[in-house]
Amino acid sequence: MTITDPPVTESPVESGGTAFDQLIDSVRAEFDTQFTWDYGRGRDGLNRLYEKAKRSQWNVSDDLDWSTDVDPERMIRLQAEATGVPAGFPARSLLDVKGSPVASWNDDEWVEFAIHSQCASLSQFLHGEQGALLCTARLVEAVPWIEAKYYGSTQVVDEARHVEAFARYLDEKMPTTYPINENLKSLLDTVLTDERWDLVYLGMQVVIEGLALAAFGMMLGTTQEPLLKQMLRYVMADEARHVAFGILSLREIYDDLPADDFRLRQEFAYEACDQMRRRTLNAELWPHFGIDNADIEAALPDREAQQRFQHILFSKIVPNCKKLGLLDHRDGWLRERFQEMNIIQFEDWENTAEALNLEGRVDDSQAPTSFDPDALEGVEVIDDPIQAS
Amino acid sequence: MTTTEPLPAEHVTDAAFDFRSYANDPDRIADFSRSNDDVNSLISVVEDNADAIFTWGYDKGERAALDKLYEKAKTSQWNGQTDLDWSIDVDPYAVLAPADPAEVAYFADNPDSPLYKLNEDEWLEVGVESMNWSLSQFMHGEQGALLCTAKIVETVPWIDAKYYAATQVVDEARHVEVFAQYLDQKLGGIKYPVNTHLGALLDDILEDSRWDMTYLGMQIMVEGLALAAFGFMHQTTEEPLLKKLLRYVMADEARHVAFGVLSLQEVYQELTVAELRDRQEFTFEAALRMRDRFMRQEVWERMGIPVKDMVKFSLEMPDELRMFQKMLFSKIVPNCKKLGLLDAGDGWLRDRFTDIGVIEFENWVDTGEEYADLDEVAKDRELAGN
Repeated sequence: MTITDPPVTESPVESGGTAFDQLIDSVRAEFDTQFTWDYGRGRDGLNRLYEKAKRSQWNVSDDLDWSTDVDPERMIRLQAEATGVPAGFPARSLLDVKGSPVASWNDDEWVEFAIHSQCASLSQFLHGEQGALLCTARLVEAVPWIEAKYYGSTQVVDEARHVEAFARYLDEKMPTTYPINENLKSLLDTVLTDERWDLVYLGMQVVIEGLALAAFGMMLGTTQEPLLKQMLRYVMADEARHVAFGILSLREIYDDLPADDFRLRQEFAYEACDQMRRRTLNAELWPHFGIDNADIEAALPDREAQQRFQHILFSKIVPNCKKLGLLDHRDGWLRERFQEMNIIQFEDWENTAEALNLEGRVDDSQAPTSFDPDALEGVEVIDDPIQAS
Repeated sequence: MTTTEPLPAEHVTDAAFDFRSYANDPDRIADFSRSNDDVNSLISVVEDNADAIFTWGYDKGERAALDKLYEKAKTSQWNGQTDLDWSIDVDPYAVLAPADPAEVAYFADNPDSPLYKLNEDEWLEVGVESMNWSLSQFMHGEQGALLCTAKIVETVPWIDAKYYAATQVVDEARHVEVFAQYLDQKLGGIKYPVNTHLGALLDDILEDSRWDMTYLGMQIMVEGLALAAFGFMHQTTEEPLLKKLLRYVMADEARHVAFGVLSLQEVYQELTVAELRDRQEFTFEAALRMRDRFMRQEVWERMGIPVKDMVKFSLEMPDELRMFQKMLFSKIVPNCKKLGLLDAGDGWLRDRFTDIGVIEFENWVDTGEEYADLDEVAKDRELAGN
């Protein structure tokens, strides 16, 4: 949570000032749809992921307890109590800064701020999930492998479910919904307009989904609200498959990629990460409280210290880039960039594909059962509600 | 894939143009030489010209009928691996439907028929090849549906439609999966590439940038025909695995056609007569391509039977023997009527459906509400629970 640079402007797509006053937003598509006439299913990792996905579907209407009463203020106060972190942190550190516009805020005001901050985070999750829905539908069209089309289709329905869940939570339980953050929208537009389908994988499945998984994990680790906890646990179980889909697919593509093309992927990964790092998380919040973003920025004592708080969000992306060979190709160009961004320390954190136990040769008869739920770092695996009943 | 020549634009507005002769021109129907170039290619590429649409209106249930369909789809999912009994041993000959004796007689007893001198073994071969061909076309069509539905998720601006369409994407993947597995494990492999007319239609649908055309082409025309064709095969085959497979696929297809009808009803209310005329012409072209695809050109070519002669002879078949070809339109025509496409403008599409002899279905039941009755998956689960 930090106030940083203004939104990136060198993006190939102009960010059209997305706002709720326009109800839809079009992104020009320049890509090919591919039919495959090879229906053989030779990619075991993707086959297992597809079978796993079929059995792990859940229903937002039935599997979450929407009768749970949610009091946003109570939610924030309980969280502060349980974690020992005061409401509104880390923005709250501006309280101690001389001349800061929030120097006189009391605890109630910080609680109100934290409620809105929670709304803003959940809103970005919501919009990001819609971006994922569109990107995954695009992948189903563009990828030339039947196994990836099969698996990708389950992810389309996963993403629709996530949009549904976050939209309902915001609508029924929280006071407000915020528009999409400009950096997130710009990255989604970049991913959606690229004609190279492997970059849709890299941008969506590795960078955006990787960030989402880390952000959901942080929220799950701090909130005490049972409905939100359950929702995040279920969503994360799906997201872990999504990142694995990216890793399994990209490893095969990158095996055959010429060096120059590979270099472009390194640069794409860097630019996507850089864009997301510079995301101004609270930019949409301060105006709501009648405060100018520029005044907040002027009051910030140490931008780097503030950013450090966000680094954990890259804890899934960096190891996956390493696994894909992106870190060390071309004399470690991406490694150097990640060092400059202070996120290289995550390079050996557990890899998502390994966590899902999807590597190597696979005995088909064991495909659905050999999945190890514990490897998902405490995320519960949801069984098929139909089969369970 | 090469798209065959579309209906020449100048003829569409020409009152004197003979659509009946155009529709029944054997040269046009039998010409699939151009698409043979890429029979051996493993992929085929179509340009997607549509914009992806974000919607910021997240109010679920704003379109109640679509919302109801989404909730239904969520609870009617099945698993191609575990809900079908793949241990069933299939005799390829037992899969075959008993041929209609009158139709066989037409081809076997007429000295002008390209099939005149076929012996009993050769007739069996026609049956086995035709079954593999039909299921191969179903499979390719399902892949087309998979790609089209993914495109609808991207291009439709309504959140309820994006939600529902997402469930359809996974439905279509399941259908490709089960048809491919059936062909591979039970019928000795996939022997036929996509039919030239079906392929051309799928390309036309995918290339169009107007999102309602994807609905019209895929949900109303291709899926409507599939629902009828699956129903026909389901009634005539005695093979238990195929029977159940078709029953489950049809339960999904009924939702898909309903999705098309419910969505387009809203869209078409806003269109001008000229815009509706575009949709009528698209519908007629699609109807022709789908009728033409059932001429089984690839089967005759594979068996060394002159394709054009077969097409010509098939077209001359007496009306009372054409029940199968006509039945293929038994869902499409009432759905077009419900959408107002039959009679929009001066009733252009009614005239065309009259030209190709399928107008008689106009008052059959449409598919806007039929899906609940066709939910075989729910019925089986209810039985198992009792």
